[in-house]
Amino acid sequence: MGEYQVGNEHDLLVTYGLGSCVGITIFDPLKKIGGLAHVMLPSAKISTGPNIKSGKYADTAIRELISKLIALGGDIINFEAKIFGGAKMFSFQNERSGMDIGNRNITAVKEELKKQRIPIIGKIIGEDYGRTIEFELNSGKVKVISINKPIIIV
Amino acid sequence: MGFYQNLDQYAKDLLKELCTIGTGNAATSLSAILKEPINIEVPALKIITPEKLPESLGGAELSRIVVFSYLSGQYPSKFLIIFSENEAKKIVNLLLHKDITGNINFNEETQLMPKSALLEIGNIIISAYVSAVGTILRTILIQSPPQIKFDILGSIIDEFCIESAETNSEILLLKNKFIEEKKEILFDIIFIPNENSITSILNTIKGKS
Amino acid sequence: MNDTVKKIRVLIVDDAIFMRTMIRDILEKNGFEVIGEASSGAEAIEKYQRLSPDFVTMDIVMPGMGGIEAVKSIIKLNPNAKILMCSAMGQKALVIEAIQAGAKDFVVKPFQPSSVIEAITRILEG
Repeated sequence: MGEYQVGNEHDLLVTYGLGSCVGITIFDPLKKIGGLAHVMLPSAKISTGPNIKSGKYADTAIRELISKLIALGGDIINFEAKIFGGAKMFSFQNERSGMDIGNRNITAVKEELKKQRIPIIGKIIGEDYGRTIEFELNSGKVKVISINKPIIIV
Repeated sequence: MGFYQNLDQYAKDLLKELCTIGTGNAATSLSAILKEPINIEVPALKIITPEKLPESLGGAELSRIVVFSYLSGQYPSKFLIIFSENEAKKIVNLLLHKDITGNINFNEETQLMPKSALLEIGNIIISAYVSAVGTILRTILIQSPPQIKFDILGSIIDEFCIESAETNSEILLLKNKFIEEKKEILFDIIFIPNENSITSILNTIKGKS
Repeated sequence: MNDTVKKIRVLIVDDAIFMRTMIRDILEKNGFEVIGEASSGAEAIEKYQRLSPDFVTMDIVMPGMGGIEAVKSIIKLNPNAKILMCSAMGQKALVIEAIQAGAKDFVVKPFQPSSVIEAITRILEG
């Protein structure tokens, strides 16, 4: 949670159990490198905590992932993104924190990717169940695994 | 931040006592519904930061059954009770005298009754703890209707971890073992006080003690 | 209960099918007739009007309309309605509210069959 990973064509990047968190894959199909971020919150701006961990937030995590991929030789012109998760696992009645964090995460991720001009070419988002994702960097395909549901390849 | 470290020994003991009373209540309730005596082991209480919760529960990738309920009012907080598939099946067997064949899948018509039984057991256990807290605080705590999920642990708890991480709160994790004849039933209980409510709970306890 | 005596007709209200089945079992084994089940306050009111049961067992906390509101509505329809609240532990305040609204008594979940039957008999005789 709150981390990102990168790799090349020999790698499989995995993150387990996305609930309200959002998983973002960014892939450079020409260079066959890619990265996977697992973000928990929409924006680093809203956090007042002393230990801001940039990988936790949609905006900072996406920017860091992009610079890392560029450092590895990727070209932002080629980048394609897919997004997963952002579910609403439980319902709350008129509660302060009934803020639908999943939905807000999705919105923030979409905004940041738009700002960076990276197209979103696939998504499995929302609803009320968890998702484990496996990002295969040879093909750029993402396997979405949920309990008691068929596996989806995006 | 770090409310637990700042507690004196007396408050720590009170907190532990609260958990033991809750567990005792829960065992009494379970025993009534199963019509069998239930023995308990003194529960192990851990106070952890939200980042450590997935690993303390065995790993984010595990599939788990969770019953969730929250308290509104003066001490807003959340309760989660977590069973592995195996433990859930044991409970269903004890309650319904029937086995779940195959995997747990609450979407299946045939598992409507096991789902409802687990939800109700979760609810009864949670209300046993809520009642213990309410008695010590001498206040009324209103509990929401329970919700149940069978999903990947990480996805079930991430929202709660996020909220606690944002407010720098700690989470109370209680590992329980109930024994019915030769069968052991293991489950975890998580109590997540909202910002301020743990402080006011402890202040109330201290003030009244 | 004697077969020649008309059976007491009961409506069970609880959002959990497991709980409804358990209560039904207790009642039927003790000679009551369960004429309906409802899983929410709104459904309880609707079934009360349609079925006119002699007796109602009512859960307190249910999603949507809860038991207390349902008691208030049923008592408006029939001030003599006989309602037994089934509450979880630690819901004393809600139980008191329900009794003030017109419910006759309460049992705490999980309950022994005997305590449910005793409470019902007491209310019916009262």
